[in-house]
Amino acid sequence: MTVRVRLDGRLKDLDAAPGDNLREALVGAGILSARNGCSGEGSCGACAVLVEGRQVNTCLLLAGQVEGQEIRTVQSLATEAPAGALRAPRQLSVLQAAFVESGIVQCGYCTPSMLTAAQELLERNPDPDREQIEDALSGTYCRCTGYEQVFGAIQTAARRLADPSYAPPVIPEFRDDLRVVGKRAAKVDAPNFARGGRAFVEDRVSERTCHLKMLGSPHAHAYIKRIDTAAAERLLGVVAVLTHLNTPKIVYGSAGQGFPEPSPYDRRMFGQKLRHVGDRVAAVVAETAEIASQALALIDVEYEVLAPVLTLDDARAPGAPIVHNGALAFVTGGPAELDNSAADPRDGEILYQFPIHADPRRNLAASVSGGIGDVARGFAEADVILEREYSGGSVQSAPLEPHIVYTKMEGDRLVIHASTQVPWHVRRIVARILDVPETRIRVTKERTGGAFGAKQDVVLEDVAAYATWITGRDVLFRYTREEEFIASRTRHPMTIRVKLGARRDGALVAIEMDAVANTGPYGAHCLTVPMNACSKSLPLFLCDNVHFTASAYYSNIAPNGAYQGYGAPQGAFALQLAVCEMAAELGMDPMDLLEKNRVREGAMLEILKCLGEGREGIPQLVYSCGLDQALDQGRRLLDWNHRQECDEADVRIGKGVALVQQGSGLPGLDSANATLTMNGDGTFMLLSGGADLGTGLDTLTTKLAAEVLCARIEDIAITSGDTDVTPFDTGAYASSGTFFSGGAALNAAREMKRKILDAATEVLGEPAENLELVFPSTVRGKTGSATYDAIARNTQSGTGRGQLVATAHFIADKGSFPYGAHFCQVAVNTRTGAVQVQKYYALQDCGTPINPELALGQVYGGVLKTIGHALYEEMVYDDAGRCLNPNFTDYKIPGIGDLPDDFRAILIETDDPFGPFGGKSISEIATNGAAPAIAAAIHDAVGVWMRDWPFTPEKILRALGKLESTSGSATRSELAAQAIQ
Amino acid sequence: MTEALELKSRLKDKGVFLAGGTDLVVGVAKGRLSVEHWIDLSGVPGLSYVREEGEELAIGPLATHAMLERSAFAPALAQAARTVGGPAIRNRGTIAGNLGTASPAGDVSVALLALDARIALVGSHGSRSVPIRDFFVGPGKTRIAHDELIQEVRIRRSADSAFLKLGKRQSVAIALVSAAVVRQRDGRVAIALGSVGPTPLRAARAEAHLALAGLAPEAIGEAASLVRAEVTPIDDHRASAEYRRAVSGVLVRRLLEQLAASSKPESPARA
Ligand SMILES: Cc1cc2nc3c(=O)[nH]c(=O)nc-3n(C[C@H](O)[C@H](O)[C@H](O)COP(=O)(O)OP(=O)(O)OC[C@H]3O[C@@H](n4cnc5c(N)ncnc54)[C@H](O)[C@@H]3O)c2cc1C
Ligand code: FES
Ligand code: FES
Repeated sequence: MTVRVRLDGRLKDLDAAPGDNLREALVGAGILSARNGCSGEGSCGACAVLVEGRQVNTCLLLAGQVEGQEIRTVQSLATEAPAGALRAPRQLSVLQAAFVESGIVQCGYCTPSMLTAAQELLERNPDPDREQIEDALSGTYCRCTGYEQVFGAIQTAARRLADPSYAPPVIPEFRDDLRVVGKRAAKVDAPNFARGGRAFVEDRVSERTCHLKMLGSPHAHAYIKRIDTAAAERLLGVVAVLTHLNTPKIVYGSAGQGFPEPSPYDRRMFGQKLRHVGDRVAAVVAETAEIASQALALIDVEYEVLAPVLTLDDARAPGAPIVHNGALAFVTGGPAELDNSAADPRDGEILYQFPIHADPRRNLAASVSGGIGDVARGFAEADVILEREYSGGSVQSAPLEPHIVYTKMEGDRLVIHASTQVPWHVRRIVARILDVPETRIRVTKERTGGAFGAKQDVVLEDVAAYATWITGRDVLFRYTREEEFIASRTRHPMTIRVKLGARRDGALVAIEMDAVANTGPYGAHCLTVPMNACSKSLPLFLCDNVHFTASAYYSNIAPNGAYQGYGAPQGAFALQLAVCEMAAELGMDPMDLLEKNRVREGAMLEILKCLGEGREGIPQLVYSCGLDQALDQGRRLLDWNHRQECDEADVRIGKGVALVQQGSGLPGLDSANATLTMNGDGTFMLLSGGADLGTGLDTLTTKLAAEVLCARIEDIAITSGDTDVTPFDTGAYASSGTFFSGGAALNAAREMKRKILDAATEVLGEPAENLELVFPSTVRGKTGSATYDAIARNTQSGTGRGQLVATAHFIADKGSFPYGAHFCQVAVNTRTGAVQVQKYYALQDCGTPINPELALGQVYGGVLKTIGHALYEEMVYDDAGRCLNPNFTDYKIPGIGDLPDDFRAILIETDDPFGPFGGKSISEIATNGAAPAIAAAIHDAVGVWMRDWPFTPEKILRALGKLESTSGSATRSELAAQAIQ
Repeated sequence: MTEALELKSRLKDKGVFLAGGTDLVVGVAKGRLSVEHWIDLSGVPGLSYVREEGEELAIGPLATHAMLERSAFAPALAQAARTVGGPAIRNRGTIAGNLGTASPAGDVSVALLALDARIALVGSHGSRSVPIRDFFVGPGKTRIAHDELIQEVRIRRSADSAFLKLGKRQSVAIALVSAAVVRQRDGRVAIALGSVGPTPLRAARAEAHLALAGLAPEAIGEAASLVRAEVTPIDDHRASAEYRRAVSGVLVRRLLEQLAASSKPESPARA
């Protein structure tokens, strides 16, 4: 049927099948901006447009319901084009421009829906206040930005609409000596997002594409006894059915880490053993998504169901079911004699690149321990010893764009359009599985609609690539929101025991930390995540006697892997809160205890020599550390020593603080490359290996080049993360972007500068030492000057020296550590147990903030996610290992209404000698403070220590002794049976 | 409307009335529901109104939450409507849909229950009016016959009313517990709760106690503990029964204190 509407000002007939929702019909009509973030549950708002001027979720509307109505998408917001002006349609409206300027556009996946919500608001209310903005955006979810900057964006737009000359309040800028670094600048890809343009994997898909759908295991732990796909294969429109019987047996690991990986190769594309609910049983590739779904239902499988292993206790219990009972093999360093006699061939095998101290028969996936000094002596010297255990449950990273990949053949080559953090690792891993040289594969990283670590793993690419490789067909594989919950990668639940010894005066004399992670069904990142829990928390304290153990166990919960912070949030929660508990024990102000023991500039971090990602680590000197200013400013802002009372009888107020740190990439492991080429008019192409995940990395590398080359940002066009086009980069993880990818761009720009000066000697006839680059794009000598335009024409002429091309790489053996202090004030309702975060101040030292407003956005986003994790986000499992809340209706991520009342990210400038123009990382660190700072504040308010996140109202009431039983009364399976709605 | 009813009698179970779709279309997307024929009411003119008629408020079945939240007639109703979803949901979701879904967590349904709404149903055999107390039968089940439609919802003016809901997070969330209280003009107090039983429910014993004891602080405390005893919550992945029970009392107490504070001290009404 066709539905006639007025779409963005023009009459349009939408094609739709009777049951189609409006979102599908709009996508059919070429509208990309109505995104699908929750598989049509109405709970993310990403698909919203304006229908008859009102915000509506298009996934909840049948196309037929809008007959004759007016539909406006983000495309209609741009100002009307003056007749004949070619550039005009690309112009941004006042509102769109304000969004782009304010830093509120990160991955861009939610941007159209935020914009339409804001547009509707401004049309009915030309001068909205904070509360009205909050209400208008309360159903529009964003996982990247933490929302805070949207208030400024909308209010700026409102004022500018009334008075075009309105200038918004300036955000702080840094480094007066530099032209673009440290200054506000539009994110280079933001205008396209604001227009709802083509950007993401799903926007590249051709109409011919086949659809891949996965049959997920209904059991957490089972063998496939028998599988019959004949009926599915016979269905018209089915192109291929893949199972463990007809796919490569090569073992690999999905962790997109540098080779050789410290994670085990413990999976196959399809295995006979199923290790979690949603694990791959079979895939159907079909002409349409509907046919693929029908075919899935025709696959007949007989399972041998095994007892599942869910918790760390389950995994470690004597005689526990063995999650990986396959044969073991080592590439290097394995034991002289391997006894694989007890292995079950149905379990596949595990290949280790090098030993990671695993014992899969005890479900131990990896382990490591180490230390400095002598903890026994330290504890002997201590006046007070405190030992506590901290834990956290399963949370989701929840990028609004679920995992997605689109694969196709171009000639004899396979092209993978990926939403990934690691294009080169994807190519390496897929080449291994397909058993082809890397020449046959091209990986193009598209814009990612949020990644947060979950897209460091090869979650879909292998199977889609294989399907294309054997069928020659285009294949689209996109997770539903439910699949994203149960079969992507997320944070490891961990239990961390901390033992502290302190002298009366507060000096910490011994620290012991034992981090145990639940890695789930496969061992991606199983060694490095729990290790990072230690390596990003212990070095915050200067203590001579430190010992740590980090280990991970296999289980049958949803797979875990990398997630922003990478173990550090769990480690910070344990260690920071333990130190806070120690302060209470000593009768000290926690800030005094932190001050007495914390890291400072010039300190040598010896502990890092035993924390090296499965190899020897490198002790590091702290060259810059902004904790002095951070603590000092935070204390004043929060009025730390003033005890706040609340006028509501049942509400108590408390304050908390936590120190945070991270690294800037992995010195000795990471490497990045970049190339600059000069165009014929003196502008530049920047080819960066870096993977921008919405964080602003492309803007950062462009700015670094613009700074060095004295060029305008607009005169540099960037292409990044394409294995055919740009040089190699290990990828965007471990907070490496600024330091490594930025470092490579900076080095390439310096090399280009040298080449320009060299070429200019010919044009100007002056020696290079007389020449300098001046803005804009000019070489100035003592006698004359030449524009880059002139230099380009000269070098690229038939008699010239050739196009100017500069390639450089960046590696490091030293690290730069970003630091920060998070302060918060909470109000705890002693009758409902509800915690309200009233104030949250994140003071971050990222060296030189290269993109100040984008750096702030990283902080707001990181903090808000982890406020969600600390207070209410939690995947709930039943006894059989099924997740009971795999959707945004039941698993809540923070909305704009959940912001702290007073939310501030503050950048502390320090001077670091290694990073580009002194820049350090900012992308992960902000996730480390919320849990310990909030837990400390809860204790300050009501006197209970919450040692297990999330701190739900119910747990708090229990801790306060207001509920009778000490734990929830129902068993997990009862919960499943009774779940309402 | 007549056309819709005719279609429905013809299609029987194969035809499903569609209003805003915020429950139904989600049900289809989640595979909980498959629908052969939609009978779309959203295009039927004249069903979307909120109208004061003397001492009564007449609400058309297609009145959206966005319309209800703007009505000052009964604060509890506006407050409840305001807590439903985000604006995009409130722009589409309707009062009849909320009643028709009959979720124990339906916010507007809880407010209407405390307000003693009357629900006018129309079917191929004529119309009837059902008091909301008799309307809900169980989760997802109501007294609407298969060939009937909600035609209108009516409430009477009350002296004061209020609604509160506790969700998992601060903003947009399904109620862990919700409660509405109403002070009638004769002084009687009505209390309804959501998410603490198979349907929205009235706290009859607490109401009876208040009818005798008024809104004095001790009476409120006693009513809150009666509420705790009256509710029949379950454990689920959102919260335990024990927590819901405890918090039911807290919400009711807070609401009653609000009512007491906003009303001049007056002697309790005795019927
Ligand atoms: C993201 C999201 C958040 C939500 N949050 C909340 C919330 O916080 N609180 C809350 O209470 N609800 C919430 N809901 C549920 C929903 O919005 C409401 O229940 C809404 O009122 C349903 O109205 P509708 O018009 O969309 O119903 P529909 O989905 O169109 O219909 C619902 C049911 O009512 C029947 N029906 C509709 N009209 C009639 C009629 N005139 N006569 C007889 N039967 C009829 C339908 O046949 C169907 O069975 C939420 C939904 C979503 C998607
Ligand atoms: S896709 Fe429509 S609200 Fe999420
Ligand atoms: S910018 Fe909002 S989801 Fe990424």
